Amino acid sequence: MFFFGKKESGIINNFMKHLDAVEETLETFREFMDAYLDGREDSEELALKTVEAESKADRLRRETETMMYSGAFLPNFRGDLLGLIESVDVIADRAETVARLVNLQRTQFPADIRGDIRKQIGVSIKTYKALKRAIKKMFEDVEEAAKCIVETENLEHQEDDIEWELIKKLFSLDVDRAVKLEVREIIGLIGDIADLSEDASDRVEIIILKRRV
Amino acid sequence: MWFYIIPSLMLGWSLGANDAANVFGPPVASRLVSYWKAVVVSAIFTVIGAVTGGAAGLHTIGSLSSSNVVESSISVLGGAISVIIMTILALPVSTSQAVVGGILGIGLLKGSVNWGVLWKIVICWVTTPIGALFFGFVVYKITAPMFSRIKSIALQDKVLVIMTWVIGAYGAYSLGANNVANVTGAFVGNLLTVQQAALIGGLAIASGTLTYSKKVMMTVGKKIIELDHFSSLISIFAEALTVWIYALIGVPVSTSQAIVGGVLGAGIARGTNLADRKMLFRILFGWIGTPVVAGVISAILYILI
Repeated sequence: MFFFGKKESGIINNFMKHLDAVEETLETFREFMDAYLDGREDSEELALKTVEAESKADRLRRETETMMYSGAFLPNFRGDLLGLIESVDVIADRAETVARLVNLQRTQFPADIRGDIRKQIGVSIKTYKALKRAIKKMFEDVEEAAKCIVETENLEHQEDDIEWELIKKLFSLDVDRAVKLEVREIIGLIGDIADLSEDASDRVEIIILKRRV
Repeated sequence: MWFYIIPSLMLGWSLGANDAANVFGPPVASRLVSYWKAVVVSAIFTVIGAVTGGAAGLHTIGSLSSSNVVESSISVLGGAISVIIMTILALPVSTSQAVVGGILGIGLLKGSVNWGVLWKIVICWVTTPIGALFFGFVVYKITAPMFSRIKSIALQDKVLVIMTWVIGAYGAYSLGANNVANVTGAFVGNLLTVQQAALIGGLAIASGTLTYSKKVMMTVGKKIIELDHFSSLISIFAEALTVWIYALIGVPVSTSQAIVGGVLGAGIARGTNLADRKMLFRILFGWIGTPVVAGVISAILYILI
């Protein structure tokens, strides 16, 4: 990246730090859910850690946005980047929301679907990681970025299938309807992590397409 | 005697204020480069272009019709007034066509028009947008695959900024070399030497660019930037190349018509047809309407004075 100016390098570094902070939020969220599903005592602490990680991502986003208005990159690209960082940030927000909700509501996940929920979380985070690669590659090699976008889309489809199977299984169980509705809401919010990752990858795709001559 | 070149200075100022937009409009309007840097570079290269490349055009305009200083001054005044009136009426106007019209108005009354030179000028006018269209198309086809090979967004941006300065400087040079003849060409042989005419004309254009070009730059720039950065730069390059070729031939042409051709050519090459009837009307009106209006005004002024 020797050809970047100082401002550009600073922004890209912060952008990368923000992507890492979102990933950290998602990973802490995964740990929280594992602990919660296992009924471990440290789940409450992990829920708090998820909230803290999301706050860190938020701070980095604001910092990066301020830096962007210092004149780095071409003006129209600045707007695109701003939209992209906002769309990545909401992924961390969603993980935080689920952690808070589950911790507050003390959601009762039926034992039969706990494994599927872990799997859903795993694929959702994998989708985010593909998005992260797409964004990193966008700065270096637009063609490689395009491949990562396709990967993000495929993973999002995979997560979608898991999500619907999970809801089907949930509603076939002999548990209280209120529990079913509460768990279904949580499943939907976990699925949002993959959906929002795909939405952000669409933005990367548009950035690349806009530059095609 | 120097009093007589005041219409030329006015015309040069208005030309600089209006036509710098055809060179730096898109990159300034899209904030790719700052307005002040753009106008300073534009002004410097306009003067360099006028002084080092303006001689052929100055000779052509100087020989369009034999006239004395007073007649030359009236011709340019007629051109300048028609540019102002047509700008107020929002009609398409080109300084090149207005000045030639102004000279013709008096030349026809006196029967001193050099028809051979006039035909050469008219042919160049007609082939200006067509030539720029051709260059826009060809240059885009050649350079777009090369630009596509740049995989990094940051490097693409750097290349675009460098292209903007190089093409902008070249465009300003071509503008000065080609259009200086409109400003002081009528005085070559009867008041000014070619070198004096080139320097005074170049400085007059530069003064307009430096003091009053922002508004037009934003208006014209935003229209052209409907294309992407790369295509709009290719359009400007096509315009600059066309106008420069006519500077070598020695015929002042319209940069506004050249940029229209450049935009169309680059647009067609990337698969977008940006032509419409209004655009065609504006070009045709520039060829016929502008010189007629300027000719009538200068003829009336000549009779009155």
